[in-house]
Amino acid sequence: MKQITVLSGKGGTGKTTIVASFTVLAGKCVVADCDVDAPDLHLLLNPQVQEEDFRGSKLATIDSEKCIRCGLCKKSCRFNAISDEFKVNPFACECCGVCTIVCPKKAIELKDRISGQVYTSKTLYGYMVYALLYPGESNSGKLVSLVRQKARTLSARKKSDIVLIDGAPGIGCPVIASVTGADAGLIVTEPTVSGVHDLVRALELLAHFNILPMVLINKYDLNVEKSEEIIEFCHNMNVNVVGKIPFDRLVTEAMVNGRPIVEYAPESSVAKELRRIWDKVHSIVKEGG
Amino acid sequence: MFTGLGDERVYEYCRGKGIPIMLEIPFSTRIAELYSKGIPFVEEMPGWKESLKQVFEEAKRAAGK
Repeated sequence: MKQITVLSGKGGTGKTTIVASFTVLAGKCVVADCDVDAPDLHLLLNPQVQEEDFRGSKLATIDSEKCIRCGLCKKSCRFNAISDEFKVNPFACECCGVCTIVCPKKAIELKDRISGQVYTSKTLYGYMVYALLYPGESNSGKLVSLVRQKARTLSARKKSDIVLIDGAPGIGCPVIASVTGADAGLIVTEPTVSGVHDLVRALELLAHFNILPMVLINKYDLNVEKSEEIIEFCHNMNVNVVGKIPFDRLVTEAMVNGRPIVEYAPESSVAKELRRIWDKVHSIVKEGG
Repeated sequence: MFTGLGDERVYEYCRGKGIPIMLEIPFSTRIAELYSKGIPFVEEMPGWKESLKQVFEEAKRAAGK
């Protein structure tokens, strides 16, 4: 089983558009949407949910009957999560448990709560795992790890040899969780100052975790000069640029219609380039051992 | 809101929720090119500075500041 994570650093470069198309092209694969803060791959792949699960976390809860309002918990809380009325603010509480220790009346308990939902589903093209973190909840990295674990299990059960991972923008906790242990990281970038800046950061992240990097330049013709810069930079860093995709309104049109571009306009130049890129990515990852 | 590429859904959503649309910026390759070079489009394209200033003022007023 090979795991390929698509990431970008900068948001809005086209990760989801590309993953949706790869899903169609890969045939029998399992796709994992690891952008749990703002997942939207399911909007393009129309999955039928087969199984639901949730990720739980904890929340300090004060029993007002037992509470003597001594204020020790409030004073000890590093996160200012306890109000003057001795109520716990669920968004501020990090469930460290200090309050349960300092409370002389044992009036505080860490209780379970649900912080996000995970869905295992079937699409026209294969299987998909995705999740939805509830607003204001933290620990999206842990939810990502759960999504990936389910995707791997599903892939083994369905004997698919590819797990495609749609990562979140940025290089923080959820992105780290979506690249850890992957066989390759495909960075989707665009020829803009911010695109290049964030590409460099994403490359550093992959290097740090020793993950094979690949680069795809999306909307390359918006600034051909900058695209050349990226190609040269990658060349010097010994990073494979697997292809470049032109800007095309058809891509947005496909998105508006909720369909992957390779299926919406299979004869378009974008779709042709995507097919070529997928074949290349697939063969590089397969050769990786 | 950037317009000219999508459909009516955002308008419908905002109308339904009573969310004001303060400004519409039609899709433009020129804006994308300027952005790619790191130049704020208001610096190069006449007229937009005023409209964006106005949005800023309105937003401040709406926020009660």
